[in-house]
Amino acid sequence: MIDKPSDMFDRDGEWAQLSRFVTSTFERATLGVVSGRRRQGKTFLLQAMCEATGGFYFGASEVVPKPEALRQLGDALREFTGSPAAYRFQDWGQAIDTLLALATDRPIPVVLDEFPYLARESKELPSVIQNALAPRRTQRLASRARLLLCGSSISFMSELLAGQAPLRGRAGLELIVATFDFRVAAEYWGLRDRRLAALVYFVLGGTPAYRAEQLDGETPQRVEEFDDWVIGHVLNPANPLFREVRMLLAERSFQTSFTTPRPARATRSTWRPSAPMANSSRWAR
Amino acid sequence: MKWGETIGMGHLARLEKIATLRPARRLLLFSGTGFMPQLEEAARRSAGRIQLIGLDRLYESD
Ligand SMILES: Nc1ncnc2c1ncn2[C@@H]1O[C@H](COP(=O)(O)OP(=O)(O)O)[C@@H](O)[C@H]1O
Ligand SMILES: [Mg+2]
Repeated sequence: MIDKPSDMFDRDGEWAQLSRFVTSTFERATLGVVSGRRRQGKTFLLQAMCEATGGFYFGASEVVPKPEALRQLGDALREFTGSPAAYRFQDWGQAIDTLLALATDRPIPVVLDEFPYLARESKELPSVIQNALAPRRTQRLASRARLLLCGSSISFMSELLAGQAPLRGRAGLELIVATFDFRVAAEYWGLRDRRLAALVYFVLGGTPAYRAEQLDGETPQRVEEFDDWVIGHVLNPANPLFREVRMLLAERSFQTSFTTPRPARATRSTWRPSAPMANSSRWAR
Repeated sequence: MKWGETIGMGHLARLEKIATLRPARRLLLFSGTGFMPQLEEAARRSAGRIQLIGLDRLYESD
């Protein structure tokens, strides 16, 4: 079992599952899938695991054309291996085999984060991975890579492994990184006062990034501070939380558009973003 | 669940009425504020049928 970094709160179960997967002594390359809503800490977990084990991490930054994605992956690989020569991939087959070849003597995690971005421009990618991991293929047998595909679109990620999909039945790990429940969230925010903890949870739920990033750790410490905190932070147009509900809804429709037919135009244009976080200060009374 | 109200016998009566339409083994009452002594007494005598769940129980018990 690999030690969990001290700056990682909770996630003991997820960390244990990941550790088990990446340190398994299985003498061939294996595949895992990690999903969960955005900002729950998937990248945080996977990068921490790569740091702890000397693994390779690549996160696609956005949807880019295939040659550009392959170039970015090549750059990341060059930085990782320190190779003097650049990696020039013509196609995903070459790229995946190079990833498998990173782990020849010991198992290491090899992460493709934001996998849906990659697959969107390269529809063949799941079948390329299926072929690369064919049971008796020499490159698979020679590799100890723990290939991890990660993405925020839960529907997209689970469909990768479902039904007739090429990767069906191939994964040895299917980890869902869930949002913190209300008790874990209270501890994460350091809120001892139950009433305050509940109020903050009503507004923010259990998404760890909100405290770490959008709020710079600014949470109310006493229940009397709650109203001002909501007004000063959540209902403050200069704080990204102000637009978060709208962003979440937009992300959702973007993500489902990977896998489901687009809704008819009429339903799209009649959709109206609702007000930001409901006016929750009245609950504080 | 009434977040800001102290829950009392009136709330229980409403829930009991609903339970005649849709029979329930247990009645759960939640509050962020607390429960009236009379209701607490009724819960104690209900052999587990009436469950009062305040913030402490929500955050502490299993
Ligand atoms: N277990 C955790 N402990 C401490 N901070 C966390 C944890 N999980 C997530 N965070 C914080 O939330 C931020 C967003 O997480 P991230 O990994 O980018 O989410 P995702 O990849 O799921 O979208 C991280 O940068 C980190 O600051
Ligand atoms: Mg991420």
